[in-house]
Amino acid sequence: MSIFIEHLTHLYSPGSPLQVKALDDITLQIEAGEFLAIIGQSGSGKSTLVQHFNGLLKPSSGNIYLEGQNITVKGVNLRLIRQRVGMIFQYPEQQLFEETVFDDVAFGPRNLGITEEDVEKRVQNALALVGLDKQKVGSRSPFQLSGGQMRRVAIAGVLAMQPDYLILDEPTANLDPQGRDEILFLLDKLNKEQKVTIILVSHSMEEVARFAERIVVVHEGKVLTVGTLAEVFAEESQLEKVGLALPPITKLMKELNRAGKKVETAVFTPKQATSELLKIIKEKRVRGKKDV
Amino acid sequence: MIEIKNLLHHYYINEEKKLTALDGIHLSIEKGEFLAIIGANGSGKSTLSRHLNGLLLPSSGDVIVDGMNTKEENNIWQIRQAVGMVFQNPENQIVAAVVEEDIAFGPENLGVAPAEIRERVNFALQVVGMEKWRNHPPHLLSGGQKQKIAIAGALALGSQYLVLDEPTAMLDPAGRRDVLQTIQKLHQEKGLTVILITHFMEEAVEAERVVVMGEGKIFLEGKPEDVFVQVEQLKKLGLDVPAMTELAFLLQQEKLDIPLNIFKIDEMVKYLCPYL
Amino acid sequence: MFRNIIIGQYIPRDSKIHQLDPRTKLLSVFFLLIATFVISNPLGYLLLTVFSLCLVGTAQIPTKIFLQSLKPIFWFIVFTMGFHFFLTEGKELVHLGPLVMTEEGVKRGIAMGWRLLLLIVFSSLLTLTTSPLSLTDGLETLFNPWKRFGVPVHEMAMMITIALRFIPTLLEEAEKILKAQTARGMDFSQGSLWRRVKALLPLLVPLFIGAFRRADDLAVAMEARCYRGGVGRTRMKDLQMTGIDLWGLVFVLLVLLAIIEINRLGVWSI
Repeated sequence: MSIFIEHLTHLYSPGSPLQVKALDDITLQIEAGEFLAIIGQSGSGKSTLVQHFNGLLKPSSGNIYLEGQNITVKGVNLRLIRQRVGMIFQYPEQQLFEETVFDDVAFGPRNLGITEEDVEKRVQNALALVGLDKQKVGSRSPFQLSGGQMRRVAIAGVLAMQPDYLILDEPTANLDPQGRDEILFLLDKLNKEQKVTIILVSHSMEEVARFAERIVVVHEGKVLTVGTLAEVFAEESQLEKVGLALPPITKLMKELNRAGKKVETAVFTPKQATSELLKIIKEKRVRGKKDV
Repeated sequence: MIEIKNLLHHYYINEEKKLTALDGIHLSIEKGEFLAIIGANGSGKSTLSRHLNGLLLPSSGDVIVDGMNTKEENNIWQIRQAVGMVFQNPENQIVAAVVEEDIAFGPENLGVAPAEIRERVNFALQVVGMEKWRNHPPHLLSGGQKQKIAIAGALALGSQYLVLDEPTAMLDPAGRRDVLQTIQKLHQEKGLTVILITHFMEEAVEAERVVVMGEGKIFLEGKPEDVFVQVEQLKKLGLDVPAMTELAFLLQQEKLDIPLNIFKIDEMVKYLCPYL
Repeated sequence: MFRNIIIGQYIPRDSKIHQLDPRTKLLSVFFLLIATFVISNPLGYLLLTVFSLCLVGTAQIPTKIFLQSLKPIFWFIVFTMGFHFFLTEGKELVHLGPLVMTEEGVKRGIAMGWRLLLLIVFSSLLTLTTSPLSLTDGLETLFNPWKRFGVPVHEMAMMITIALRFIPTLLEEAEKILKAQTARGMDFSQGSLWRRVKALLPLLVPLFIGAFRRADDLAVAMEARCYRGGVGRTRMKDLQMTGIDLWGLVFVLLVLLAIIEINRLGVWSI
């Protein structure tokens, strides 16, 4: 029980002829330390939803509790909340502005009012986490770096605030396979080693399937379904209704099931499929030998 | 036909440092074909695409579009009319504040008579299925819709070749499907030559021919089923392979006799069933 | 949030005013502005006021929206009137503390205020009934003759068109950058003026850099689409003056002439 969203409704332009109900009575619980994925089509409300977790948006009605504290009431220290709940927007490299990489990563920690010594340590750690060498890039202008490097600098800028919860909106957008893998492995590392709660907003089922434990499916401002990977992926028709498709590997396992082969369908990557299939094949061979 | 002969492209970072983006490319693109060019970031695929309509000129070598060499200044506008281009960022290629005005931009530049521009715009809107949006401002469109407008713009220009530089990289799955379907339609129904630059394998699989680039060179070339079976090569070049191919590859390593040129799920099911 | 801003307050309708060529409207506003500044007696004011109400009615713009467009200027008019009321020499009427309201002041204040109101009404009519694109087209065509004097008319019109096109996009991006920096603990509301101005850097620098990137991409795209400046360029929406345009211009000129004539008759000069 760490972020609790209670009957959250959010209206854009309330009271005007352009009013839009972006979120419709959402109740959701996010456990500390989990790796959660929020999926849905463009316009489903998933970005609007996560912007409530760190107080960037206020509910039109409903409450948000961060570890028991209601963050939607007046007088709440939003700065503190934003340190604990970090957010990385889509294409975060677009927010870089400082003259050096070091200063840009230091922007967040400096806003926390800690000593410059501490700031330096945090920047060093953050850059190391994203695979950048402070000696090499620290004094360079962020705008001289490659696109992939710029993104890592932007991510380091949020990691340097040492949040307990990390929300990421499509962090691998427009990255090549290698870049994408690096980011996902980083998230997994943060989650497993440093117990950071990861909230990953994504369109990509394959990506989500690699590390997420639980999935929330958002559609037209409502939560369509919540559950473990296996539970959510079992509902193929629901996902299709929402404009999302199962990873091809999962579809394959389901087809095999339909052809009468008893394989586990909660399988999402080629590696997982290989293990599962080999297991079944071995069992069949053993059975075959026994019969003889 | 577009012929690329021994194309080299250098550029200078500062006074001394010279980088080679394209290192001797030799390629022919037939009229009416659907070609996919894949490669990791930095492989030179985007640079190559900019040579096809003369946005970039060769450091050495030649690019000849329908008999016109891009190096000759007189040819440039004809070449750019023949080779339409759609860029990766849907937002930054829309010029006008209204959809139909943007599609008209190309023909207006050519000095086409107003009545004919109107006809071309109507036609293009119809082909990409965006008639209902003709009077809308572009910022209200989804990414996929914006790309369709860009494609319509190339159609209105009268382009016979359509070069798309990672058109779906910034789109969501629904947008990607939408754009791909439009591209397929243009190729099959209107006979346009499509040159699709992408890093999505599911898209490359749809092409008739695939060219794999790395380090400014062409490493592999051929039909999708011939290219994608070279799993190790592709991985070395920093590329993904289609999911089924990856699975077949892993199973082959475990001594199962599964061919690598399987892209569809039902085919894989057929091959796996005897084992299970 | 910013997605639904109506740029320049253009309200699409099917009225006769909407259908007019933008050049007609631009020229009309020009003549009517002259008329507004030239009027010097109540009959003139009456004529122009009636005329303006007729135009508003014909344009089919809902009164509510019209009043909204007058709101920003409302206080300015009040202030101007007050200025004249109290600071004009003449026959004293009322004392308000140290301030003295004079008869001449009242006459002049009302006259000024009324003129400003008419000015706003005519300008609003222009922007409410003409899309920014049409306006730019109209301006470009009107100023075309100046090309021979070296004025880059086409380029300026293209700049305005592109700027208008990107305003909603840039606003969206500004919003996103603002949120991203706020999420990193940035705070606008505290500190000295200098501190607050410095706090704008994390917002403005990325915006500017983003804008330059866009400009770069857009330039390449325009070249790929055969753009080579204004020479030989045609327009799909070719501006054509029709019957109503000519009648409209004639009507406006008549009004202007009437005003001048009424002035000459010299009733009640103000």
